[in-house]
Amino acid sequence: MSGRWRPLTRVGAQVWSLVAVLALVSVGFASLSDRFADLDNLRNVLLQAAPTMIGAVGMTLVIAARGIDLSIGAIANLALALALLGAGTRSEAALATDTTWLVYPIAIASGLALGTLNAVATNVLRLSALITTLGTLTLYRGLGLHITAAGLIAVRGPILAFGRAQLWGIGVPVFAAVLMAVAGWVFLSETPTGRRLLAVGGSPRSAVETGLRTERLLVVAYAASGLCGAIAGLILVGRVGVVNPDLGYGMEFTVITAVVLGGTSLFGGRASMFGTVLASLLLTTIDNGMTLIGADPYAYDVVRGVILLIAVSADAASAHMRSRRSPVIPELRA
Amino acid sequence: MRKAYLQIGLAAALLTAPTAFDAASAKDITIGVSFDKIEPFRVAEKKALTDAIEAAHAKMDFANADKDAQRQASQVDTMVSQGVSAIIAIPWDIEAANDLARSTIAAGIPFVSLDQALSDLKSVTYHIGGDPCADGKVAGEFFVKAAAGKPFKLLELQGGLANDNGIRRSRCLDDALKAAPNITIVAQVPTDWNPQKALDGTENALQAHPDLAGIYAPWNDALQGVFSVLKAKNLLLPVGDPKHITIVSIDGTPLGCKAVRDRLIDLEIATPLPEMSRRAVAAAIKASQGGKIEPQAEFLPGIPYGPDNVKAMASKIWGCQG
Repeated sequence: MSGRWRPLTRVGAQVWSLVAVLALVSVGFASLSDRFADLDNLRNVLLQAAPTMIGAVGMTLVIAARGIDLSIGAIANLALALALLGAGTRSEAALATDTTWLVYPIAIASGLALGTLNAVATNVLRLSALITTLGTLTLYRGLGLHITAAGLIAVRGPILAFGRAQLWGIGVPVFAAVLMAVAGWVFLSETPTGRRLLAVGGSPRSAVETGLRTERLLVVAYAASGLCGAIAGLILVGRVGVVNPDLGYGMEFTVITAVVLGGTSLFGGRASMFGTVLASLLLTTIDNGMTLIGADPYAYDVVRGVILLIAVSADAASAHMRSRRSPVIPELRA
Repeated sequence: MRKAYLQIGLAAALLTAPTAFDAASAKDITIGVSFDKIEPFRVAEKKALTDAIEAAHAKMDFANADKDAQRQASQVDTMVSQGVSAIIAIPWDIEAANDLARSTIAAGIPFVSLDQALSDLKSVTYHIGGDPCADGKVAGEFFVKAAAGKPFKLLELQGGLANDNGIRRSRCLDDALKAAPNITIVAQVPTDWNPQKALDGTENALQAHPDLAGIYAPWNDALQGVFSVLKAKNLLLPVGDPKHITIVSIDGTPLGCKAVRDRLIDLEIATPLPEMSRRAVAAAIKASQGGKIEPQAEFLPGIPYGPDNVKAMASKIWGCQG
């Protein structure tokens, strides 16, 4: 095995645990609902997981660099609001907004710009990313509300295409999510910039002392997160057919849960793109299965909360054990 | 169905009856308005309140708590310290707001809760809101009628489970359905009022139960997500089509009215927003002038209407106007 592909073989224990949990959960739901294992339902799960997966890919890069982006859901909201502002025509009589293909470049450019702004703000203000992106979360959401007048805007035309298109019976967002995850993994494992990003997360001080341009690397990570937020927003709007004030609301928590559950360390320097994908699938599978078996609605949040606690505890215990054995070494797990 | 029309009559009577309060001269009165969040229904509520306050010749000081009980408390405290004459609030946290209401009243400022009832109604000077229980019950009775004694699988989308409207629109629907063992609620999906979750829940429920007969969407914003799924499965069919899935929704927004006019939903229960706002403002002004408010709490049932009577009812439904 060449050194180039070695990261693929270093599948972390947390990823294997996730595979096991996903398999157990799936078997459990399949035994309780004869529809769970249907091909149509698997397609549903993949499609419903796509926005979370894409957002989580961007968040993995940010967290790997010891950052966090609480504004990713607000970016999804504002990027789409800006896209409608630039490429939408409101028809009052139809209670809907017609769109052109320009919504895509505008939303993507907006996502990149808003993510970049997060990095610049973090670099310039020298505040923790938590505080900075908490601020931009409020700012972006406020701007989104202002642009849309906090209304529910039904949309028509090309904006729906991405969320609703299918290829071989599978939603196009699923392919987009897989592509983004592969691209994210290749970036982290195969490019010098990706490795430097992990180094920054592993030890920011060492990274600075060894001459790494940490500020530029953070711009890359946050811009990618913004891009992923905008793409997730495009999928959500394409599927539902409306831009509403709640678009992207709470996305940050789901996405961060997926990243941490997937084995990326909240302390930076360690990332698992494969784990992120699996965790996104697990979270979606739980919601899907709970509905299929007609579970008590009050159980949904309990189950999600328990999973988050387990993930955070496992991550903290693992970080503690590593710190006792050896200093932090940046690594990418498959 | 007869009960539904009785509800229409009752609601219409409420709308035309004189209210308990007369709008007094209010030139020097500023009403502090605190909303729990901003979303399409709240935008409509804000407009209705603005209209009512302007009609009373009072002024409005508005703040949005953006789903944060602490922020709402700070905003109300600030309004009180700035000398507003009364507070009209839609509380975000129906428990925490009890203390907020009591401290506001203790400071000599009347506290009127709108739309969302606090857990302790005695905490406020006056409460006016829709009647989520009556609305849920009307929806349940409609499904019982639509099922006509035959096996009927129903998907129940739920709003916020930590929210009075969300809880009671669900609980009272369930109570009404207890009389009909032929109706099976195949899934209760918590959505936190999010259309995306309504879409996913509908998609999953239809996957498990392709023979789904009804969907309860207790707020209009859910409809777009529901329609997206039904359209993808070629099930978005007009009322009257043999394969049509019976849909009941609540709110009375323009989106809901359009869905009724397009014959895509069977019953819509419109919250009487303008009347709620008018009574809230009248009570706030009267209390700020030392008047006694009776009754202390009022719950106005929604106005049910459907494709067959939307034309006749349009003038009474705020979302059907304009």
